[in-house]
Amino acid sequence: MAIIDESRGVLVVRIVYDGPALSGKTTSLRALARGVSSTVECPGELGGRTLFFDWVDYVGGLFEGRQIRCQIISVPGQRELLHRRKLLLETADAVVLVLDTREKEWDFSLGWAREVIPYCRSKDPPVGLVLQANKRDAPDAVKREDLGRALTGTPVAVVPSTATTGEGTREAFVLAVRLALDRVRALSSAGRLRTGKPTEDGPQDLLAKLRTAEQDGAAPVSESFAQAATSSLAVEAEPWAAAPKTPATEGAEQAEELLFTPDPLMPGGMIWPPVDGRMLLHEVASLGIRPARAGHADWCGSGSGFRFHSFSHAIFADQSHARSELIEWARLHSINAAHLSKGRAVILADAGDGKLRLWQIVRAEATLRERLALALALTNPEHVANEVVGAAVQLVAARESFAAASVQFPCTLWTIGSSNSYRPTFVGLMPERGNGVTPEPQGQALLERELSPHLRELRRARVDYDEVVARLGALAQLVGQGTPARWLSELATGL
Amino acid sequence: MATEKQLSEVLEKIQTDSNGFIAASLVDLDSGMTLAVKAARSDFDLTAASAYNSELVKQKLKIMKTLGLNGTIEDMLITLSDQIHLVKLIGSNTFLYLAVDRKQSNIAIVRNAVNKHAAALSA
Repeated sequence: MAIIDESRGVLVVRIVYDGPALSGKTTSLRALARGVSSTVECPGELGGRTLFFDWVDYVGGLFEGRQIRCQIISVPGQRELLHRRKLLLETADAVVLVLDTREKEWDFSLGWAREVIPYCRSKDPPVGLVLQANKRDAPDAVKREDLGRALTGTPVAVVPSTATTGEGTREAFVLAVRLALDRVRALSSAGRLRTGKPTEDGPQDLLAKLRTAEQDGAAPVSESFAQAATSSLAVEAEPWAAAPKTPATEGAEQAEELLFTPDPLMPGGMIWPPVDGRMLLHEVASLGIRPARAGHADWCGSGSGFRFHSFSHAIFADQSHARSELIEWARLHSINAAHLSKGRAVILADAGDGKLRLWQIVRAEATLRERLALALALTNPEHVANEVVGAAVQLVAARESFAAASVQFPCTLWTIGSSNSYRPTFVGLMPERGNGVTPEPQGQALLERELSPHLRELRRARVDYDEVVARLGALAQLVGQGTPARWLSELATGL
Repeated sequence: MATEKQLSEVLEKIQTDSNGFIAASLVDLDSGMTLAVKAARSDFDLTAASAYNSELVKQKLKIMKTLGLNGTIEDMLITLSDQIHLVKLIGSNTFLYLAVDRKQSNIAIVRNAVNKHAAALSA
């Protein structure tokens, strides 16, 4: 969200503090605020727990002659509030990932890191990440050398900290600012560094944005994120799976089923496709992704560019039944191969107690949603309009193409690949075959479902929204009725 | 890098060894942000001074590159009518900035105080 605020002569960047609940994000912000003589604002705080975000505003440093205004925010870490966390992370120019490094929390912390790190790296330009290894004063803190070893192969800066005393918080922050400036330089080189007023100039603006987003369809605070994310692929809306389970519940659920551990040496006949699937397993085995689930919901896991999924009921006590299911899934993939992204495997894995569980592994691909997010940040309203029309055309084309599939693929911004291929690809998790699935909307109804929230946000955030609408209208004039450009123009005008 | 506590202790030692101490900071060269600060006067805007001094160092580095000079900057000394400012490079990414009252100190004292403790800053 970096922007040059010419009226104040400052560069505005946003540093987002992420991390699990009670890892020390708010404490870090408070220590930082004390150190830079600023204050922390916490809209909606309840019992010391962050419900929306914590906000610190700090002006310091210089970038190409302009002061740097840092909007420093920390996200809520509670699982029920993951939707807010996602919205905030999307706006980051750099992330400080605060992790609890006590022994009993370390596995959970690592799981969190292994989701956030690839997310940050998937952005264009990538979002820099500093890992603030917190609670180093604890007697059971993992050894310093083990911190880096756990993330071998992942280029990320690790800063030890004790947030309660402020130790390390400033160093982590300054490093994050430096990473944010790297991103600013990349945006500037690409001609994508915006100028103007920040869309959120203070904590109240950001609070209003989160509330508007929730009214527009983001999950309300009472809904379990894990259930929302896993219960239906038809409303799949983000590339992440459910967050890892909290350590308190993990032990109890482990007793019920053996956790899936990708094993490239597993017996043949349990992997599809046979050769490519085994190579995929080999690739993911080293990543240490550990799927998790809430209660008896679907199993999910993601990280390092891969997603794992197993439907809650896809567990079989009878081996021949399990093999039949694997063959059916293999057939489903083969029949629909023309619509599917590459990098997929279906696995029958040991679930303990003589049972087998059916898993799908999908390599993460860039989605229309990510492409649209970049487009909406372009400075030129004509370019914005062109890109939105491109997304609309892809959506409609995907819906038409997927009509020939033997299974109903959810047609959303998150499940369609971002490339302008003549044949759109489905990049999401393979849905279940079966009856009773609500048909996906088509044409204008599809565009309304997928693009209206973004058009509303565009209208709210951009002072030149009328120019975008005018360009959409001009593009619509070039084509006939009943085309994506026309539908989009009508949608944008009618908001 | 030294911990924040260690950095603060070093700045305190520099303060003790510098007559007429006004302020000192350890500054990230790239962003101009301060990593540690110590000020004896509340009217001295150390944040701004640190940031602008980072620009000063960067400009000097640009000049050296233009001139094809292969050496490195050790420190930059600016003598004002009433103050002395010293910028001491610590590694390639940070510098120490020290401001003292000229009436109570001199260049030799300033340099000595900084050089004595500079090594601890990059530990």
